[in-house]
Amino acid sequence: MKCTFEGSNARVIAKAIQSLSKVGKELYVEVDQNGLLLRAINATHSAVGSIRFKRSMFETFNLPRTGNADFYCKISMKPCLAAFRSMKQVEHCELSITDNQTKFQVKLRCKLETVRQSVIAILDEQNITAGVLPDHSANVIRGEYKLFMEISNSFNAAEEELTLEAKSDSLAAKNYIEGARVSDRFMRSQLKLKPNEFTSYNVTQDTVITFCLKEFRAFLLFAESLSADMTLEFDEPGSPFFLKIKKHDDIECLLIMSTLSPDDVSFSEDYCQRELTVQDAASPVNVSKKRKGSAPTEQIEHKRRLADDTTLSTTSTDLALFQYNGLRTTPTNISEPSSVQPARLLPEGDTVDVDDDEEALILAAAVAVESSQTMPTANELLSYNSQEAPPMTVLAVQEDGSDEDCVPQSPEHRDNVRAIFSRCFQKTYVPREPSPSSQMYAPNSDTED
Amino acid sequence: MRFRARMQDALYMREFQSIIATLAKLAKECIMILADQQMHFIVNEEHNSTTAPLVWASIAAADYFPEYKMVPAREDHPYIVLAMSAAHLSRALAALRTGATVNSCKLKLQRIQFPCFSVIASVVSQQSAEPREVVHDVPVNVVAASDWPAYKIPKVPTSQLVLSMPSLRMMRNVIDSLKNMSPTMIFHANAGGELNLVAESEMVTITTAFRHLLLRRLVNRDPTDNDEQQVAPDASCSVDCRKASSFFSALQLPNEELSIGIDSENCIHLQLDVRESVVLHSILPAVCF
Repeated sequence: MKCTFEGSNARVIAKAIQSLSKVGKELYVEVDQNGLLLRAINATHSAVGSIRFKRSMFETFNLPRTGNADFYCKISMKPCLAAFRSMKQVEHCELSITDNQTKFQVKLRCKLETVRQSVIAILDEQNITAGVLPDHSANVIRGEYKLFMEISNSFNAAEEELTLEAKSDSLAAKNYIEGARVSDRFMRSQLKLKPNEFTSYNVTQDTVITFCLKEFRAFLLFAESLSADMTLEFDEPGSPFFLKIKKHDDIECLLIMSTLSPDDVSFSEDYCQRELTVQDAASPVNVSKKRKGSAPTEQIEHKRRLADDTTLSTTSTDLALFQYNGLRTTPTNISEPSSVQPARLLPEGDTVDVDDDEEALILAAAVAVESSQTMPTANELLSYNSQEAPPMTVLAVQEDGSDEDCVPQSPEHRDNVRAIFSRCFQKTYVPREPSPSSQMYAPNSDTED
Repeated sequence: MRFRARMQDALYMREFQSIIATLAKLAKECIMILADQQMHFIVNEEHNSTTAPLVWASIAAADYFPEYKMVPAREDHPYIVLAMSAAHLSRALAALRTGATVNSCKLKLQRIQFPCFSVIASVVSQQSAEPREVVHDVPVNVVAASDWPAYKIPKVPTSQLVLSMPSLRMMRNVIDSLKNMSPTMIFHANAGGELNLVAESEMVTITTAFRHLLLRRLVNRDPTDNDEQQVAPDASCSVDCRKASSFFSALQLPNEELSIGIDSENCIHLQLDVRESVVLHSILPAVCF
C-alpha cells in the first residue's frame, strides 16, 4: 500500500493525527478504495473519532494488490506524532507499508532536499468500527467553528464535561447538571445561545445531554485548522452524540461520544462504560477472522481481549478524583440500545460490578470480599493504557501484538485495615436527595445512614 | 441580605476586571466587603502568604456601577462580607476582557444551592449580532458579623515621604533581578525626588537610582524645625524582595500612576490610583536584616 500527497495536505493529515492523539493512544489506519481513514478510540471506549480523507486528496494512491482491497492496521500514537511533528518545511509526503506488512513508513520530503523518514512498527491488524449510524438524530445543530471555540473557551481548560440544554428556541451550555448536587467549591458557568447564532438549528426534541469535553475539544481543534463548520447531532441523554466535520467533500470527520445517562451523576475518570452491552450469541461477529470486511452494520471488534463484553454498570469509582461522584449503593444497569459494542470473546457475558472496592465494603464486609474478587477488571481490561483504572489485578491487560508470554502482574496487596475501617477513609459524599431524573432500583441498605 | 449591581461602560468593566485579575495573581482567596457606597477587596489579610503582600482595593460604587444596591443582613451591621476564591472571580469576569463588546454586566448575590456571587455578562461576539448571556456563579462564604473584626479594611499608613513611581515595567524588571541578589531590599527616598533601591549581598551591593521623581507629599519629621530646609529629609525602609516582586508582577492594570510612600523603618506603602475614587493599596512591611 502506498500513497503520496503534497505539502499542504500533509499538514492537514498531521493536524488530524494531532487531534486524534488527544482522543486515543493508538491510531487505526484503514485504506480502502475511497481513501484513507484514520481512527482513534479513547481509553474508556466512550468516544471514537474517525477522519476520512478521500482519494482526491492524494497524488498517487496504490492499494495493496491482494484480492481484499482493504487494508487495516493499528499503530501507536506517539511515534506518529513524532513523525508528523514539524510540518512547515514539508513539500511532499509518502505513506507506505513495508517489510511484509509489519512496518508503516512515513517519508517526508522537505525543503532544501532533506528527506525525513520514519518507520513505525505496526502493532496489530485491528480495526474499530462503530456500531451506530449517525444519521437519524432528532436534533441537528450546525455552526461555525468560531462559535464552538467561544463556547469552549467560556469554560475552564480543565473542565471535564459539558452539558447542553437544547430547546427549540435556545441552547444553554453549562458545566453542571441542573438538579445534581455539586460541591460548594464549584464554580458554575453557563452560556446561553440563541438559534440564530448557528448556521442551522434544528431541535425537535428538548434534551439535556452531557458529554466529555476533552474529545470535543480535540475535534474542535481540527475543525479550527480546517476552518470548517461543525455539526452536532444528538438525541436524548444516554444515546450517543455525533460530531461531524466536512470540508469540500474531501475530508469527513466523525466523532461519536457517549453521553451521560440520566441515572448517573457525572462522568468519572473511567467514564461511562455504559455504551458497552452484552453481546449475545445472536450478534453476527466473527472473532476468528483477523481482517474483517466492513459489514454494513459495523460493530466494534477488539480481538484478543480477555474482557468480557459485559454490561458494565455505572462507575462511581475513584471517589477521590471527582467531586461529583455520588456514592452509589446500587449499581444501575445500562439498558439503552448499544452503540459501541465490544467484540465478544469470552462466553461469559455477565453483569460485572464496576463499583469500587471501598464502596462495596460499605454494604457488608462479606459482600465486599466477594465483589472485590469479581473486580472489573472489565473496566481496566478494556482500557489499554489507562492509568485511571482503579487499582485492581492487572491480569488481563495485554499489549496487543507484543508478546504472547506476558507475565501477569501479581495482584496488589489489599490493605486489610482499610477494609475493616473503610468508612474512616472515605470522602463521604452521599447525596441526600437523588437527582430529579433518577430512578431508585433499591432502597438504601446502609445501616449507618 | 441582598446585593445587586450593574456595570454599563466598557472601560469601567475592563478596569474592574483588571483589578480582580491583579488580586487573583496575588492570592487564592480574597475578601469582598460591600458597604453602602463602596466596594472593597482585601487579599492576604493575615499575612500567611510569604510571597505576597497585603493588598486591598477600594472602589467607590458610584464610579463603576450606575446601579448599586446593597441591603445588609441587619441594619446595625451595615456591611456584607464575603470570602471567595479570587481565581474564580477573575475567571468569571474574563468575559469582560476579551475583544467582544460587552453590553452590560450584572453582579448579584444569590443563593442557588449555596450562596454564590453571580456575574452575568451580556456579550456580543463577532459572530452573532445579538447579545448572548454568560453566567458564572462563584461560590462564596458569607462571613458572619462576629468575625468582621478580623477583616477590617487596613489603614493607610502615614508615610514621611511620598514619591510617584517611575515606570512600572522598569520597576518590575529591576526588582525581579534584585530578587536574586538578596532576600531584602532597601528603598531610600529623599525629598529631592530621588528613589534608590539597594540590594546587598556578600559580594556586591547594587543600587538603582531613579531621579526626578515627582514629590507627592512630604511630612517634616520635626515640625518645629522650620529653618532646616536645606537638609532634605529622607526615608528608608528595607522590605522583603519577594513580596515586592510579586506585587509588581501581579499588577495587571494599564495605568501607570503608582506612588510609593515610605514610613521609615516601618513599612512601604504602594498606592495605585486607577481613578479618583478607585484605589489599590499595598503594604510591604519592614524586615530586619
